[in-house]
Amino acid sequence: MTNEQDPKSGESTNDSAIGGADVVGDITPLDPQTEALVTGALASLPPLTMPQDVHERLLAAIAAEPNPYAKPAPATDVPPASNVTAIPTQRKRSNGWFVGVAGVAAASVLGLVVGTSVLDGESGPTAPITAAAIPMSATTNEYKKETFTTQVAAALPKWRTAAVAPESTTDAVPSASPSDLVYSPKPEPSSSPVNPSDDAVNAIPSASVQIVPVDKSMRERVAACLAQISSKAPMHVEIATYVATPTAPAEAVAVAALSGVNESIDVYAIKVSCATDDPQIVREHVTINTQ
Amino acid sequence: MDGEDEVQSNATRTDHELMAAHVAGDPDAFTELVNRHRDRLWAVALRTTGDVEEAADGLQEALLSAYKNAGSFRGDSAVTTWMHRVVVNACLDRLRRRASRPTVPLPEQDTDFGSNMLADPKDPLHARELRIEIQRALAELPPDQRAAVVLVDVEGYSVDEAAQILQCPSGTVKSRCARGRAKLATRLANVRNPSAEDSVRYSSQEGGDVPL
Repeated sequence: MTNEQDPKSGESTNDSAIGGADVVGDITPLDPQTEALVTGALASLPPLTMPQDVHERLLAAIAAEPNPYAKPAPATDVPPASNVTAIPTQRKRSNGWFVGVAGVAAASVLGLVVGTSVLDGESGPTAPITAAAIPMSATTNEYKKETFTTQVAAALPKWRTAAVAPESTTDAVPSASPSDLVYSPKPEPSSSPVNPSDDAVNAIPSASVQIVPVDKSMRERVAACLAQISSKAPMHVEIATYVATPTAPAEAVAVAALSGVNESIDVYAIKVSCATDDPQIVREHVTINTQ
Repeated sequence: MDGEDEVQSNATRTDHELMAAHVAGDPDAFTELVNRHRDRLWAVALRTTGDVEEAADGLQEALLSAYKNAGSFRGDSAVTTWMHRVVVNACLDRLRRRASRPTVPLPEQDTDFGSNMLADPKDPLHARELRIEIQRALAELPPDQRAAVVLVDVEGYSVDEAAQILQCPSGTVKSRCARGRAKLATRLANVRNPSAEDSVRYSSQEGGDVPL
């Protein structure tokens, strides 16, 4: 029987919504022998075994995911890095994160959203990226278009470490709530050399841009933005700056490094403003194979 | 916490017990569930998406969602049914999104997923070709038909089980399978006889050679 109707899905008489132009009533059933051969051929397909790398990645992703049924562990913020200073919650800026940009009038703040997670959750209806689950830090690092790949590749180990580290304490030590992690407008010492071991290795600390606060609204904005851009969940987010050309001002972006299978990591630089109608929202996208 | 006793106890728990344990905070219960059903979940994901990368991503997305939303599992169905439902939904979502962002497939992309499918040296060439052709033909089906065919005809779920997984009436599963099989029959006719596409026999036709 092939003509039974679906009383609730709207597919009762027309399956064109799923790609077929035929209608139920038009199905010409195969003769039993042909149908048996088709189903036999399908059934003869050998069983598949999940590849080991996929299995390991799945387990790693699950292990990295905060357990919602364990003791409350609401956030997995990255501990302040060497060039990030946590300050009290009350230090939120009242007039938005753009105020964090000082010195260069044309400069706008870029959010460097770096997700190096093994998590992969394209936010379909079943797996939205939870804003609070995105570890996020803010730095004065300045990423440049011409060196973006190199900068990102150099920073990946640090991001990975930072993203994994909180998980080990997730069950036992509730970390600060997302809105608690606010970063100070730290004046960048102009004489400080770039330390390859710093957060966002080889990213160049900007002398003119102050660290902007990472508050709940930014988290939500970035999470929503990422959900529209990529299917993969970030492990770490860095708020920083990005310069497209030597003469261009810094601009607001968010860069997300997201892991896929086979150790490839996508890193996006996206505008933190996250205007969905902005065709330039993705400022950079590189894929790094870490194998 | 991670002692042998616990591992053994997880291994002997039922799926429902593992799910309950996970919701109760057992850090290892969900992993045991994944390990227990990974191959079948993988097979459904891979054959539904037709792409290894998409399958891996979809499966990961789905299992993370299941991990986080296990509390919503009411126990009305088997845990595996619920997990398959989440996986199939995630995969179909990905396919729909992919459809909205058309990509150019690699030419002559090998759709015979996994080397394990071709690993048998005794496998006759025509059988291998048939498998590859089946995979390709499956990939050409509309996603919902493909999911139904994969669940029922490839993975061996009953129509009712597939209906639970796909969250649609059994009749819908049957009709999707019927459509899918009809298309597959036409496509697969060419494997045996490239000129025999029109020779696929339908019940309304008189007998004759069966093209498969």
